[in-house]
Amino acid sequence: MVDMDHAGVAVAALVGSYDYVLVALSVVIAIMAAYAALDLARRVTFARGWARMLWLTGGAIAMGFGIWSMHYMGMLAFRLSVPVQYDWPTVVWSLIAAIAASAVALIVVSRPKMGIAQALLGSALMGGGIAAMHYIGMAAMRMPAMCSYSPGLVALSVVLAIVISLVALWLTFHFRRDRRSLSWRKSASAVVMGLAIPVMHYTGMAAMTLTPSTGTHGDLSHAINVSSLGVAGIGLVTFVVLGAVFLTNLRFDSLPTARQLATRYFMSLAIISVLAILGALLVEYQGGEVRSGARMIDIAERQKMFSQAITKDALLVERSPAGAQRQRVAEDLRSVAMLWEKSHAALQHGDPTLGASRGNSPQLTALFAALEPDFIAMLDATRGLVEQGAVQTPAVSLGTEVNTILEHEPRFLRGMAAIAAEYEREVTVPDELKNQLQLALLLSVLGVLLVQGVVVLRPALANIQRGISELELTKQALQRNSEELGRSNAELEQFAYVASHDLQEPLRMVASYTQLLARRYRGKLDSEADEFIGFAVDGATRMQTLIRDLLSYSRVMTQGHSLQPADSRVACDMARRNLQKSIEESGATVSVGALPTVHADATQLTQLFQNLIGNALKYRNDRAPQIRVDARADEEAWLFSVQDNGIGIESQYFERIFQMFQRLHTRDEFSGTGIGLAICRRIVERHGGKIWVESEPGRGSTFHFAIPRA
Amino acid sequence: MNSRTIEILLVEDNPGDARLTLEAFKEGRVLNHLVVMKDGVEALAYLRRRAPYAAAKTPDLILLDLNLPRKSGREVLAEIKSDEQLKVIPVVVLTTSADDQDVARAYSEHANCYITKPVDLEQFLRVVHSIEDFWLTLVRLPEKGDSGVG
Repeated sequence: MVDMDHAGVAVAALVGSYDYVLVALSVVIAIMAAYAALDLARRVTFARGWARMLWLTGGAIAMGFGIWSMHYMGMLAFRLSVPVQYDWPTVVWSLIAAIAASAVALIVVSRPKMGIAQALLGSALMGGGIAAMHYIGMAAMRMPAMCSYSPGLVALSVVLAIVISLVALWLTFHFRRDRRSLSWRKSASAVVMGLAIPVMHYTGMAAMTLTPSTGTHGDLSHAINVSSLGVAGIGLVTFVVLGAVFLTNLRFDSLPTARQLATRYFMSLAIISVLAILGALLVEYQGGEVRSGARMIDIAERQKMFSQAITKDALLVERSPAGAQRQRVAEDLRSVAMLWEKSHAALQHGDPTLGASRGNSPQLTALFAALEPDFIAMLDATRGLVEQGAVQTPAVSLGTEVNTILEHEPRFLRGMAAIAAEYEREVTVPDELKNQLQLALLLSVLGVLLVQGVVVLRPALANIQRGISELELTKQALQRNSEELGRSNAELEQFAYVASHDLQEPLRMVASYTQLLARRYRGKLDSEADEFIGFAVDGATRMQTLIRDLLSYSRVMTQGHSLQPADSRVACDMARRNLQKSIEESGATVSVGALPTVHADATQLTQLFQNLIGNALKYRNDRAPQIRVDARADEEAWLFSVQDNGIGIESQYFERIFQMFQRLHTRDEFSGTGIGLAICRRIVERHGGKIWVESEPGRGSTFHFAIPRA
Repeated sequence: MNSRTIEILLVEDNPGDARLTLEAFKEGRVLNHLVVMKDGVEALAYLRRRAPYAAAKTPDLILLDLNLPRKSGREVLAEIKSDEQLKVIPVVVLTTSADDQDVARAYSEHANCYITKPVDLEQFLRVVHSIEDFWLTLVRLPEKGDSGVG
């Protein structure tokens, strides 16, 4: 890239390259900052009074820090062939600009309404703030190069900043009510906003052209190097600050303490990070001071040596015979004097090429002023000597100059010694400061850790302890409840068994005598009496069936046998034999596939098959029942199926039919108590399995049950 | 033996059941006389002709329920079967219990047969008629040497 400077001379511009890791990092930070902004907008919108101020302030700082951090990552990603330093007060101003822009943004989006005027004004302010941050940040750069901007690209970057701000405000305003911490719309808008910020930034970077120049421009008194430590620090703080925004948004609604503690924890982490980074920067800065002080002492000591060399060369010039030899010595004297003069200027005004890069204290200035006459006198005398020594004339009186030098030298040496001593004295200050800073830093980090221990760890531990004891109590209560439940359940089963057993006795009387009545007196009384007796006999009979079924239901648990290997084929055959009469009556065909030996109560297995096959026979339509019993194995269980071609069941009843007393038909259609399938389910559950049905009304049903493989 | 009245002792505490059995025998073909005792103590007093049953006749058949007040049917059975004079009388255990243990115990106490009372009347009547057919018609019982004494 070649640029034409104002003098019309072609000067090669400095070409920078990007560190893509840092670029990627800057983009990630931008996305996080955008996400944080969306979250913060919601907080600020719904907070009132002090809380609102707090959220606004904290939010603006966090968000501004995020944007600023993205920007600096981007600056640091820009690698130049010349050393770059940053003027930290200017850097702080750029951070303030970013925070102000964020504050404007949060205020705009948290208002109840956002009109076009407000949106435009807000985006102009916010975009202006971001652009200001960017260019203030660029102005903080200190390097041996001339900085010039392409007006077109600068304008474009400002326009981009404003447009992006407008989009960001719009998105944020619309998603501020989204309570979910992770929704795709929110994530998408965060990504859009997060990608847009770097677009503006890198346009701004492209607007800058650097031309190399000798010497660094600008005030170097507050310039610092940003080391890799600093980069890591800025990144870390950003992640912690933005991470804290996410964490405070995490919903521990049931555990407000946990949320509060997490917030405190991250705040203390953020403080520690800030301390560590500030500390590292300060220590680095003080280290620079010490180094540069040491360099000054070196130069001052060298000045003493130079002045001695000048005296020696001056005497040699005086005593050398005229001619080539004298010319050589005079040449030596000239070069020594040149270095001497240059170093003197460097000591007084600073020179980065010599490592003397700062101004002097008033004491030093006074010391230099006191030294100045001797220095000037010696310099003038030396110049005279050099001039005359270089002349080929044989007889020249050089005594005056040499005398002047000899006269002023002791005073110059004393003065320079005093200056060196002053440098020495001044250097001890930053050195001590550095040590004190390190100590203070260590102590404050320890202090923060201590505070963290008190405000986070202690309540957390207390909370955990309380939680554990509560858990313990809950567990005990639960255990008590479950024992009680078990007991009352067993009692209930016992009760059901005893009750139905004892009910049988009086019922047998009722049934027997109504039947006897029917047997002896049917047709001998009037027709009404016959009808009444009929109802009584029917009721008693049904009640007997009901009680018998209830009894067998309660027997599943109370009277069950232990589970042993049982041949399900035998159980199925037994059930078939028990149902022989109904099978013959209905003209059904019952086919049975290969059935396994399972771990079961054989009697109950028989009852299970009997109930299922019995249902298949009972709920038939006009077709002759075709019943198929089959079994297959899966990994954990034997899956049995009893399939029929009967009336079927609508899917809405698939669950209900297994409940006690649930019937789908009137007694006129199909008789039954509604207990059969409840018994089936109880038997299957006692075996640790489950039962379910598949059916198509009118086509038939398939009852499946699974019995775990032992 | 068909010509004379058959003496039957029914030991049953439930009057409804007792009456039902009585009604069932009434429908039977054999001339019989059914005496009902309501508990084990009474039943043994009757069998041993203790007061107030001094005039009791030795039954040809005993129908014994197991669950009885005062003295259970099991104890009554054990006493009958250990009594030299009474043990020849056939004892039919007629009870609601279908418990395997009850069945086993009854037979080990030398019950002559064990029948669970059917719940249904028709079946009950059939059972009673079967008892009648078997024990009072088909089977030849020992002659009662001491009958009519007292």
